[in-house]
Amino acid sequence: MTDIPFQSLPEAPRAPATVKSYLDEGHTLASWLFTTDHKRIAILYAIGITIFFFIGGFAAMLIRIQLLTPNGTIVSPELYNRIFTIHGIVMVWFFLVPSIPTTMGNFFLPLMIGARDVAFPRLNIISFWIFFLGALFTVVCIVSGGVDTGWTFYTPYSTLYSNGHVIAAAIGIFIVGFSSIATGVNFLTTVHTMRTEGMTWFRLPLFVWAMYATSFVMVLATPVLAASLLMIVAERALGMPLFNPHNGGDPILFQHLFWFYSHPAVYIMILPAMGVVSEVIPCFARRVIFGYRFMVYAMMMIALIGFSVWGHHMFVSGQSPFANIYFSFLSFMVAVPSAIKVFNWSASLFRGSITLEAPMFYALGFVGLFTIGGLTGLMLASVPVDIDLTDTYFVVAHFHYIMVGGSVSAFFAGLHYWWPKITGKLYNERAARLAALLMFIGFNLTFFPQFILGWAGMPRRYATYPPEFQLWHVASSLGAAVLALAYIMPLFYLGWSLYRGGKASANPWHATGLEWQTASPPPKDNFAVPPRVTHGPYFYHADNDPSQPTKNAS
Amino acid sequence: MSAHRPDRRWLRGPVLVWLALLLLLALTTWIGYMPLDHLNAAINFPLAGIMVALVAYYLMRLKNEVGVVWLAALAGVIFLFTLFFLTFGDYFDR
Amino acid sequence: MSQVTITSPRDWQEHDLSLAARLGMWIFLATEILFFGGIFCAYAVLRYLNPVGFGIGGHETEILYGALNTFVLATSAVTMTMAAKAADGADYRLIRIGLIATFALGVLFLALKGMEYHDDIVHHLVPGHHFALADPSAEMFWGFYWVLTGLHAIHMSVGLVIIGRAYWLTRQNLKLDELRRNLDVSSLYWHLVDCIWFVIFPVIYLAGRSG
Repeated sequence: MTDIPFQSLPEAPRAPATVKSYLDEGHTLASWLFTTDHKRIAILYAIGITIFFFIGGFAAMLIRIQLLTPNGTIVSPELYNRIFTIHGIVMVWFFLVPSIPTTMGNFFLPLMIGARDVAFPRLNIISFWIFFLGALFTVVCIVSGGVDTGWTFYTPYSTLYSNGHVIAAAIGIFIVGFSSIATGVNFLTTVHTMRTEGMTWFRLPLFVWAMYATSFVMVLATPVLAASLLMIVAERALGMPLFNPHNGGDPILFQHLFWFYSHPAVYIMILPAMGVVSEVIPCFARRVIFGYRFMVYAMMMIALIGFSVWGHHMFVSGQSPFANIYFSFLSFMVAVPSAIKVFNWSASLFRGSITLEAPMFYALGFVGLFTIGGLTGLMLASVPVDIDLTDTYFVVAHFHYIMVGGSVSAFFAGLHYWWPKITGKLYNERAARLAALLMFIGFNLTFFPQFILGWAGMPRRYATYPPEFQLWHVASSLGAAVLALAYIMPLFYLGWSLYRGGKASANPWHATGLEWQTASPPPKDNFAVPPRVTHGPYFYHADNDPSQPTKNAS
Repeated sequence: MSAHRPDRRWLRGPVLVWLALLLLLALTTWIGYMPLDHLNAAINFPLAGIMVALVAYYLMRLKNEVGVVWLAALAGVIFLFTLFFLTFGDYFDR
Repeated sequence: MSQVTITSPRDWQEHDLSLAARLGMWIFLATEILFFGGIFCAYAVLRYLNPVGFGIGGHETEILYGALNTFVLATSAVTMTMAAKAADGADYRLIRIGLIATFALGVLFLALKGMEYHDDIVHHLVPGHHFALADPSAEMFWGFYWVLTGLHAIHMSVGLVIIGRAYWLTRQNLKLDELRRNLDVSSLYWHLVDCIWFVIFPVIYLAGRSG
């Protein structure tokens, strides 16, 4: 096993002067809209989720303006209900669930396993159109009809009492679910059947494992959401009494079915983020990831145990105390693999040569913010504590620390890390670091006061509140303004880089992954020659001698 | 295609499965009419399960399939059981 | 050190297309198991909570139609297997006979279902204002009847389209490998729809039978 870098082998094919990139394979609109190239599909998805991110963000802005004053600044309680509903539906289903898997997963999964594309390229483009048109349909229906049930659609309000386009919204989300399932089927099959020669399971990058675990969850959880939404439509549209207590139905049954999907859904939203962070930290600390195998086992355990904890959303719903006990216990269990991952990311930094480029800034932010989110999750998993904190802003702060502090930070980490590879351009590092700093400050200013608010008793989904809470709400809204600025900045400096950015080499970060061993941007078939793998993925230094960085990684 | 008649002896297997399915259908219907209270469901659903298993093993060819396909086939069933199991844990205790 | 060692230029090798097709379809079937399974779980819970009403409701289902349809689908499962296995030996005649028989049985199923639906509507067994039975949870049972059998019928119709396409492919001069992949995958889908019916049968038609 000799230390021969890629470029200096005498037999290696001489690289052509310029490699035709996937961006140059056709310039028509049709060549983009009907492409089967996973890289182009990733970009289509990126445009889609960005649009929905700003729609959901606009709703968040209205929420934060509303909550500046105790008696409500701009909207009635009824309209407020519709605003937080659309915020939740759009952010969860049309931004977070697709975000990393459909953009970075689609782009890099084949590259990282040495394949030319995914297993079912036509299914891939179909899944994009299902997502985009379904999500657009849902947003139009919600905005025109006003759904006020919350993204959780609890019965019997959603089935019997709510006025508004509940049926249309449920159908729209049902349709978008097929996109999730299609992506999951594609990724699972791709990893099982298309790994290149020498790419054994335990040589896979952690990002690929994360995509695998996420796909596993997407495929098994989403159908139950489909079933629960279908039953809401059946009850509402067709008068089939399925959750109606008058007929002997049980509204809590809906919650069981809904949360059977929606809890694993949060793992769909965090596992990809963990995968991204596991790629970025080794690169910018110049260290092999600590405990690779445990990182893999931890992700698989999260995916598996994550299916058994949904009842922790229902501690005060009226479910039995016995159920409360076992769901609480299992929720404590599922925290363990996440903790293992946090320890391993931290241990990977030890004796590293750390540099704080924007991707690393976001990744380190992820580790800290995810830890806070996770610890507060443990607090909520404890039944006596949850009885007081349920439906307060404590819960809101907890999940935003994970979703926004965690997943969105990781999304930006990956976006910046892989931007040179995807576009072939270098972004302005100073502007990126400023945006990262603003995001960190803005995020904490927005959401930390919400822990305090929740602890003090401020209920969630309320349009007005007692005056003693105002200080914290104003702080939170101020933070939201800073956060909004931090989210808008990348549109500018990343957009600018497309026209005036420096040209990126194949491996500007001197990283070791397979995706960095091909041109930036890659050619249509990803590699000029099919790669053959001989090592594990994080070869930043020799096994026994961290002080000697390996040739290509210096 | 060969000039001789194609070898169709393999048809015996599927026909046997067909007979088994019909037998199970008759059995489960017959039992369904017996006044056995809770036992009716306790018998009829496993019988349906056997029908499904026969189709999956012989007709859907799981018998000759590789491990990863078995994993996919079983994953749906296992997590469905999780849904049933933990949901009923709530209802049994109410 | 990069992860890659290149020793000589080589061609891209095709991965196992048959395994990919079968695996992809089985994963999709797992999603269908959970989709119908979610509805079955709701049924199971509500039947557990309302045994009497479900029995009253179940008593009104037409077992003759149900049993006959189960017979039809059990037979179609075998004719579909026939078509798929015949492809192994390139027995095109048997493939086509199998597909035609399966398609015909599927159409027969839907016709019988349609007749049954007509009877149910005439007897006011549709939840709503004019529902025939007094017991409120019997109305819930019938909600499940329409949702489960309706969804199944939709899946069956999609299955007929898939079989029709498979038949069309046998006339298209495809490479045998490609045809076999399509038949494998079509057959898996069809069998799943049959299996879902085998579970629907006791759920809908054997409830309250002994009351």
